[in-house]
Amino acid sequence: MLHECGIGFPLAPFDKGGIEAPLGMTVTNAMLIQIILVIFSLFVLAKVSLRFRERKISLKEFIFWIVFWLAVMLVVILPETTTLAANLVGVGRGSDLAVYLSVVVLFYLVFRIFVKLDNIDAAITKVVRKEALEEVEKDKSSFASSSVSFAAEASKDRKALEDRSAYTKASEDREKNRK
Amino acid sequence: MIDNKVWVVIPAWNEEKNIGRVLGELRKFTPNILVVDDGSRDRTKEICHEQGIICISHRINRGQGAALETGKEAALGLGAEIIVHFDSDGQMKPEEIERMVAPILRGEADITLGSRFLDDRTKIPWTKRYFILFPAKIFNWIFTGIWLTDAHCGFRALSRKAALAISLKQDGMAHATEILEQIYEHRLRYKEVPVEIVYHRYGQGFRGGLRIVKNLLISRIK
Repeated sequence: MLHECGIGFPLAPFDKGGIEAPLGMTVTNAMLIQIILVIFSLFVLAKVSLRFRERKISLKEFIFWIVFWLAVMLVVILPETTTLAANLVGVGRGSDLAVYLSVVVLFYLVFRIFVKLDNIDAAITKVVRKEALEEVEKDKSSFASSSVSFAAEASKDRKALEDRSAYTKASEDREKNRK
Repeated sequence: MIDNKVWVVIPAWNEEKNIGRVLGELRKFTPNILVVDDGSRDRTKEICHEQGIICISHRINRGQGAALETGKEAALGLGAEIIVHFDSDGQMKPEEIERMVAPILRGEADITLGSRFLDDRTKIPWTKRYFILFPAKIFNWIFTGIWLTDAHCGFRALSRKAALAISLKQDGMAHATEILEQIYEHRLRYKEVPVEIVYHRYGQGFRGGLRIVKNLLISRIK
């Protein structure tokens, strides 16, 4: 591969065509990166399987990563697959397809991040509000108006409803994730 | 002077320069004042305590929308029948609280919204009026279906019913549009009331407006 790129990297054994390897194969340096990547992918696959056995990742995640790294190995061993895939969907080059897909995926991920940040903001405000109201509840005595009561019936009822539905939703989510 | 069940909620952030004066004026009209100190680093809270005014403190700054929501929760808990939104920077006139509350007391509306443009007492820089407020009004109309003469006036009065129905999720300045959204959603009766705002500062510039649009778009997509 290095030779094909026109980089005159002096790797003596490879200059002569390749290294003698077991099984009568000749290892060219074009294959070096492929071998490295395949070994790496197999290593990652093993790690992923281990994590799944340890129940640290869900079945969905496990399948996703298996498919992903198998696809990586496929593209590494047979680079022509990218061109094939590209032509299948009407795109000229494999690398073009990769860029288009990446852009779409990135937009989606960024959107998810925005949503997450928004949720975090809302959660923080909830905590800050709760603390603020509780603190005032404690200092009731220092107020000008004497008969102050923060027994917010309306707010409490609404909160109780909110909390209950939030709690059931959270436990539902947990159930779903466990499957 | 003002009905006992009316509570004035004042969101404040680092307003030590103005809050003392504002509270002093306001107290002549009603003792029911709730200041929400939105994570101020100055003496806002202390000044409130000095005047014996209830001050609810956010430990960190969360935004005007969040402060108003906190104030509303507290006011409802105090048995408020009407909640008034009042600014802490001295740009609003306490005398006008009565006319803001009147339509609600008469049962004509669930919520009254102050408008700087129903009469021409308020002097606004023309750049603000045509380049910021006008697009804002269009924007509000697109998002909420409500066309107001004033897009963004913080002077409001809500009946207890409106206060219970409206729940602000927007922490920042986008709450103004969110209130309109919820007015539309809950079919609340609203009425605009002419008020005078005395200007010292420019307020939300164009950048602030853009931030508001971004916040609202995100909340829509969620």
